[in-house]
Amino acid sequence: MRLYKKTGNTIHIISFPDEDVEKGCYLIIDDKRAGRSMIVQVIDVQFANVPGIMEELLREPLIDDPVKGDDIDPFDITSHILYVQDARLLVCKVHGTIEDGGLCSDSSWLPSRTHSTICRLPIGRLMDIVNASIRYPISIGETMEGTPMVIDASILDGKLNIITGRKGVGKSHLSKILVLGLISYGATVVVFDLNGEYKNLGLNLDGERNEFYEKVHVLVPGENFKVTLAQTGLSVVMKILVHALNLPGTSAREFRHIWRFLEERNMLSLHEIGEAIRRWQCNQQVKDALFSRYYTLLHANFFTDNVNESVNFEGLLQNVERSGGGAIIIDLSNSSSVDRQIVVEYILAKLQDLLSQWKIRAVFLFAEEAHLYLRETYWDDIVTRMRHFGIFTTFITNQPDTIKESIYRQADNIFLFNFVNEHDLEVISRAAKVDAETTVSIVRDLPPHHCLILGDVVRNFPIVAKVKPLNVRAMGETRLFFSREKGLEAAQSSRP
Amino acid sequence: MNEIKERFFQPWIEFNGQSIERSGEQEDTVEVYSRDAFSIISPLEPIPDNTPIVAIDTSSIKVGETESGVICAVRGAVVWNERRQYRCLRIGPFPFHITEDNKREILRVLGQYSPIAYSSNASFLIEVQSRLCNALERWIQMMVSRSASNSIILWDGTLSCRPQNDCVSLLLRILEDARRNSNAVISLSKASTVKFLGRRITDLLMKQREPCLLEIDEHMLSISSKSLRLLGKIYVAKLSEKGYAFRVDVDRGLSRDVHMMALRRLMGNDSVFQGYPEALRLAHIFSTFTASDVIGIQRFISRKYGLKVVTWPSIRKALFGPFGTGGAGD
Repeated sequence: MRLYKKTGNTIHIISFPDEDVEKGCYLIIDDKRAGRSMIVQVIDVQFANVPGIMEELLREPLIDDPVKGDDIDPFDITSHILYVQDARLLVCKVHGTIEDGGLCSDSSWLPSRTHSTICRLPIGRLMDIVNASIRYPISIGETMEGTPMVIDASILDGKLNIITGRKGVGKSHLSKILVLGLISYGATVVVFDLNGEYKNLGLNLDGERNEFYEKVHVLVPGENFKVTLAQTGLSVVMKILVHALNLPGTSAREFRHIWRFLEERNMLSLHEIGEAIRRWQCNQQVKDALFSRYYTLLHANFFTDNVNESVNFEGLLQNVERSGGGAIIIDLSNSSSVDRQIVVEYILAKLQDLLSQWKIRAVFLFAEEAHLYLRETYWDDIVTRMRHFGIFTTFITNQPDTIKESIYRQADNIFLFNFVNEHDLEVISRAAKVDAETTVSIVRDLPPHHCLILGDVVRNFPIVAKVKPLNVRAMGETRLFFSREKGLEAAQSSRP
Repeated sequence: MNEIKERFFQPWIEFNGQSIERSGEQEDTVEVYSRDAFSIISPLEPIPDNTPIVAIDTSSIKVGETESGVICAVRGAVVWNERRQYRCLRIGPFPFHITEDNKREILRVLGQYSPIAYSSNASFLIEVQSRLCNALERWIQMMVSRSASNSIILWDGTLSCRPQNDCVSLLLRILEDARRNSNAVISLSKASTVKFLGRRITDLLMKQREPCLLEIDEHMLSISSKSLRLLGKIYVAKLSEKGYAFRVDVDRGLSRDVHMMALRRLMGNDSVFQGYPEALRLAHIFSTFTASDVIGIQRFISRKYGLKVVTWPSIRKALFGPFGTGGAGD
């Protein structure tokens, strides 16, 4: 490889066909005379502008038969000509300089064209250079060189993460790896499972229980996840009514009076609330508003008056924490849009209460397609206030534009899977952790199950990783109509 | 080439000079004197009878300089057309290191294929390069004449040479081999030196619409047998309606009728682009060196012979700066 030119923090390198270089890999430009080395990442591989290539390409198709007889080339010079014609231009971005054994971000110097040597910098060595010691390793797959790609779970602590990519490229897969990695180190994880694909994390592919079986708790709202009003508390119910069910201010005030009235008389129950609204002396419109919300709560089947039927969410969280971590999967797959919002409001409000009172230490929250259930004001809450309480969120989405730009800017780690749509690429290019050119160029060509990792977990050196297969029942695979037909055909063809 | 191992080499990077085609024998201007009107054979009807058309061309290029000389490469191409299907055989590239010390030796070795290469007094190394190209072309012509049969063989240039050179006998031998195998050799010149009343003779057919042929008798030409030996009968041919006219030399050993038949068969069995046979056009294209060819050859010689690439200071550039161009004949 030879250094060709440098413009700003972009370096162009000429590479030949027998040199193993691909988009996303790192190179080190070692200028021994200057005593410095530059670390660059290949963000694009193009054909080198070899003089005369157009003439070569134009004359080849002039002969009709591609097998046009052997050339008499006793010195095999043609192979050298073809070698030159296949020369590549590597477009690279500078990521730092190694000087006196230390890494600095200086990219202003020019390595010598003639004296510099350029070679590939394996990810393992790069991580050694940045002193990336890993205390709580989570293996997420392998690097481009085939070496293990390991991130430190402790770097996810207190951080905001985003996993995004188009459909079917492996986002949920990576998210499950992170969930299992975190709970294996005793973390408490809450997952808003929109498609019911996390509920079998405790089972292997063959259906057998795995080491996480006892740590995975699946809660299905309306079935095994119901709460009493007393467990919920007025503040949480008010948030549900106001934010999830859009109860106007006047009606909310009346509801608060009703609640306190019943609470003072130790009569707090769904049935009594209904009766109280009926008897309450207030404007008819307020009464109607309260009734409509009351029936919505009733039909959500999430609240119960039967204490035995209810789940002590607070107790469950504390149990999980005490028993060395675990995942609470909130299966929202069968919930309506409103019911989802009620459940999410309940859980987030509860988490805030518990964390603010130091009843639990911290929670890693995984939110799939959060825009479908997260109210507008929560986004900023999550990245600012809730983070200080100890809610560390990972958003997983295939629609990057549903996450606000401010969230991208504040994200500590971003796991980007493939996107081809220009609009999506433009949205993700706003990620502050790396320049837009790097993001767009690499992400556009990522194959399925490969992701570009940006942020603290990779010490701000963007790294392409292949996500490993997971021996758990994913249930995230899309159900297909024709897969049944294919299965039948396969069965028939296998018959003797 | 082995004597340059581990030595220094400056790659030649100015591709503007393009590759040099075989120079052959450069004719002086030949005037045509005629008191009679020229006889134009028109129209020239094509004969499509699947006669194979074989075209030969070569080229050479300078690829670098060493302390003692120049490195050049030569390549030849044979293109043949069978039932309108073109095939190509490329011969080379062959790199040569030409120095003042070895140029005589090179010419002597090559003399057996191209006496002109040995007998001529090449004073510049660049001339040796064109002699090498010429030798390769004669060798390919000889091989094709011996291996092809019942074909029309197209050469680039003319069928003439100076009698003081030994090339006459070689050319005669090649033409004889071709005739023995029932081949007809036709040579096409892109730039003819034959003139009539100071104008190029090809201009005489400018106003002709249909394909036609203008026959030039030897007694009409201002040449003596001492200055130039013509081994072909000279015609001016316009091979297509919308195309240029070219000077065409056809083997004199063949009869006039065979000449006509050969030209008509050429028209009938090869595509004619701008009045020029496609097979010969392709042979030129495939023998010509492109810039990437030159870089590939430079890579080969630096790898194979361990040449160290250097850039010697250019006196012209030092003296004249951006005006220090040219100087090929220095």
